[in-house]
Amino acid sequence: MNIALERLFEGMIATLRADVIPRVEDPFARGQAVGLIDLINNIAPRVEWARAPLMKSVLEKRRLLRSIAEAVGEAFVDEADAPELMESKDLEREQARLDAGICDAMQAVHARPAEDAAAKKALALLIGHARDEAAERMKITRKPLFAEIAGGGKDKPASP
Amino acid sequence: MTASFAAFELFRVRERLQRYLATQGLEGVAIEGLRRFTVGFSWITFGFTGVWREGDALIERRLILRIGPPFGIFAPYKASPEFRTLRALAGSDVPAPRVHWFSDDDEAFGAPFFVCDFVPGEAPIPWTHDGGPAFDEATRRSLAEQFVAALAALHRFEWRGSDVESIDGSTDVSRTATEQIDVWEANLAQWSRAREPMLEWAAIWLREHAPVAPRISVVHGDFRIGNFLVDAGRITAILDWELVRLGDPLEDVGWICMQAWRGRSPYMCHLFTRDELVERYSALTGFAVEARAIRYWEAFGTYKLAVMHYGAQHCFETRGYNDMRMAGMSAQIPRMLLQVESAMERAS
Repeated sequence: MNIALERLFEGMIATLRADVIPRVEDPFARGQAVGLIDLINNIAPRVEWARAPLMKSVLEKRRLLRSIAEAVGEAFVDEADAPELMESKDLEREQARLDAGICDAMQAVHARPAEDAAAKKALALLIGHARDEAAERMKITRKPLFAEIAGGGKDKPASP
Repeated sequence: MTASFAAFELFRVRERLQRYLATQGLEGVAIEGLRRFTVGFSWITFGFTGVWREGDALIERRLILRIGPPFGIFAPYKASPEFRTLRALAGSDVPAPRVHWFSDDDEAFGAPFFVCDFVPGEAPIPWTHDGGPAFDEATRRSLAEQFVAALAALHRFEWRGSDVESIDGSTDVSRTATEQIDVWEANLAQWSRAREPMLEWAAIWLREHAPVAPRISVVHGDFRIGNFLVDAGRITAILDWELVRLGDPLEDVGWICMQAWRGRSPYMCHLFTRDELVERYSALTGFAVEARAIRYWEAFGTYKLAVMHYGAQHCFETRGYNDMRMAGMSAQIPRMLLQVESAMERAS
């Protein structure tokens, strides 16, 4: 999930205000929807994207880029540019910087001759990292409810 | 509600629609039963009945208005490719709505639009939790046959010399795949702040394995379950032509085979096995079909769908579109990245 939390909360509140509440006929249900807005307003200043998985991801990317640099004799990010990692937003920025380095490394090692064994191994590590990271993020990704949404919430599946 | 979204509220749309249709020479035109449909992730769709006079006759016609919103996934939109294609396909064996009016400019509705006939039917969007059958066997076979027949008719359509010649796409059989990679790579760069290693690798892989197209056809670009209407067991219309262009027809076949449209079902788009699809498609088109090329286009399609998820994320985050489905698609990006990798593996 890459959307800034502030924007997600803003979008949720706008949807409740403009598209949901005016169309809810039952006053109690309408009041509950306003209660959701009240809660979101109070949650918003207190939360940020979880720091631990971001930190783990940043450390793995740094480790990967260091081992790639050693293997192929070329660095793809400047270690000196690494910022002090304090808040989730800093970690997200660093993650993006390291991902750019990983992408540059992919392009560079792929362009090397096919018989370059070190480049081949490095490419496998880079692809493996991309796969492992997606798999890690999948562990906290829930099944989409698009069919239920398309059915206007009427076709509720047997389990969430 | 954001200002841009408010522009598509019913009372405004009715007023603008009436004004526009009056300029098209419809005498005393009235708009009845205007309503917005909830389906579709991209264009905004309205249904209405237009009533007007033609001489002594009172005409009542059920119509559809589709508007490409400035904040939608593929904005800025153009209505002309879809309109020209549908107009050219009128009378062909491709079931498609008859089109009436369109514009690529913002004057009438604040966004490009077109108007076509209302076609009766429901769009089946099967959702089975265990990969079990979405249709009974007879329905599955019947819909599968109609679905592949529509695709074959589209791919056999002689576009040269028709209006379709002017739509986007590549007519160079050796460049059609790489040009599509360029298009979607550019979209990704526009929609994502950060570079995504899996998609960067996919673009490298897709370029390296790009096939030469066996021919150039009209490619629908989103030919799948959910994008056609069924009425009393018959497919009445193929919908959502916004990605239509000229290119390798096998791109549509690969798109049909994507995991995203079948979940755990063994049936492509819940309709046929891969072998059944290829066999019927080859028989109906007379084209030889290489399994490897279909696997390639399936991998490309999965890449394209992953990039679309970034488009959804971008229109929620940056363009102020508060549709929760867009944010929901953003949450599904890891699933798409893994599907891209698996599709490349299968195509290798």
